[in-house]
Amino acid sequence: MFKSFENLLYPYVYINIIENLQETVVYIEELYFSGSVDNYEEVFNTTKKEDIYEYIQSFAKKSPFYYISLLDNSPSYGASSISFKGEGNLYYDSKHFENICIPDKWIYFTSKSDLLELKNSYSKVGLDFIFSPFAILANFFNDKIKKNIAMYILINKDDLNISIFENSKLFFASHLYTNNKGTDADNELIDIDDNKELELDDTIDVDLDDINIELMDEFADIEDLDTFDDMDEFSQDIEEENLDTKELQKDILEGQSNFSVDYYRFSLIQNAVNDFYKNNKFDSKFIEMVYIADTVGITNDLKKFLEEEMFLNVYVRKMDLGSELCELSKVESK
Amino acid sequence: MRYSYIKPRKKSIFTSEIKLVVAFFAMSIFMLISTYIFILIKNSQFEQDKINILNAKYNIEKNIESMKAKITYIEKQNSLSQKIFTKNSVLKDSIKNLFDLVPQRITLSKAKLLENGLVLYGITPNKDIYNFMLHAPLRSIFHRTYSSFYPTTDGWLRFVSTNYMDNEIDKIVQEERDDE
Repeated sequence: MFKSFENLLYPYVYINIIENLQETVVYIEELYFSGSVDNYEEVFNTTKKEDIYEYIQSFAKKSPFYYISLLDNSPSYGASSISFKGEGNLYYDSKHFENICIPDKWIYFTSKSDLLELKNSYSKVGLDFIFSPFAILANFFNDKIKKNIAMYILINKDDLNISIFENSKLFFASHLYTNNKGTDADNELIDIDDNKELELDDTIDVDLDDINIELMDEFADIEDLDTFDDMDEFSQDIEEENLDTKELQKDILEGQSNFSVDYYRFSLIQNAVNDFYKNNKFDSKFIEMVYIADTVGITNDLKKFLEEEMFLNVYVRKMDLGSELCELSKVESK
Repeated sequence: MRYSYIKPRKKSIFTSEIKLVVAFFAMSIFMLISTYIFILIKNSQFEQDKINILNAKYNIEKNIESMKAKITYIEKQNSLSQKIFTKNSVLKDSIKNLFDLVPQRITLSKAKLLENGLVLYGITPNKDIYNFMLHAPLRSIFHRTYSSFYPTTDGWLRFVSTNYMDNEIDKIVQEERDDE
């Protein structure tokens, strides 16, 4: 009753921050009493915190009922089952870690010092909620994790969150960086990208199918360029063609980059599955299904790798991470 | 079920701006109410004072009336006392005159002053002395005079002299009766 009265006066504003290495996405939802919802999304450079604060504050001013949520991106977060096979103790230190336990099922945690650091980094605007990506993943596949054993992967811009659930019980969880800060694998990735770029600069690798036939005809008519006007028109056409080629080149670069990132993701998943199968501390079971929550727009290659190399049935579900974060904020704020 | 590692900050409808506005309005309303209460109290005090003053006025008026009545009564008493005083003076003079009338050889034992008459009791050596020395002046004063004598053991006479003064009308009636 009082909540409705509050909402009548002010909208509920849910401000959701997803911080990646390069960029920070701020997704905002405004819920009005009438039921209407306004969405806003803005991408900022992660280093330009002042812009982020300013943007958040402009929405926070609208209503006293604003909730700022942050997706935990600290290196220490993780998840585990309540106890491991052959081990009575949890493998994290409860003194230094904050944890949330789903009774008899699983637990997710993060370092208290990292939480403090996150809070401090947003002390100017304050934080109301910090959510674990594993909580987001479990909530997103809530209908699936209750069923048979399957692997659930949250693919984010800079990292992967891999978990294996059966009947809502966690068997395995891993947080892996795909674009991490200074690991060998990452350097390797960067090297690969640079080589490809150099190679492409030397030889303009253009697919013949994409070449405009009409343009080639105009090349044939080159001897007909009698006047200066015709010359101008021709040079203009050539410039347009150069632009098209650059765009094409860029697309190819991006495609190749995505391919290599997806391959790297695949290799990380493969290693994680190997670890799950081989490590004695996990109660390993055979996995047939993989559910992927895709927040970045993965290529079909990853799916193909998983299906062909690991013989898994892969289902990809698009996820709007900001929206999912917002949903958890709504649940939590009630 | 809890999802977040941290608890949300307390959200209140009372933002700093609203608190300021509410404080301002609360203060204004408080001042208005206090002024209203002050006026009410003062008004009731004035009403009470008015009632008291009216009561006092009524009492004073009542006292004035009572005092006026007392004054009238006192004035009447005064006039009565003056009358009595005058009467007493007259009576005193009359008594003095009476005693002056009584000769030395006659002794009065009792005198009764009536409204319109005088009764004297006394002893006289003989009737003549009485008739000449007392009865004669009494007759000059009173309209009707009756005397009766009783002899005493020592030879003197005890007398009772009853004297009346008639009104003028009574006197005329009496004279007419006498004439008849």
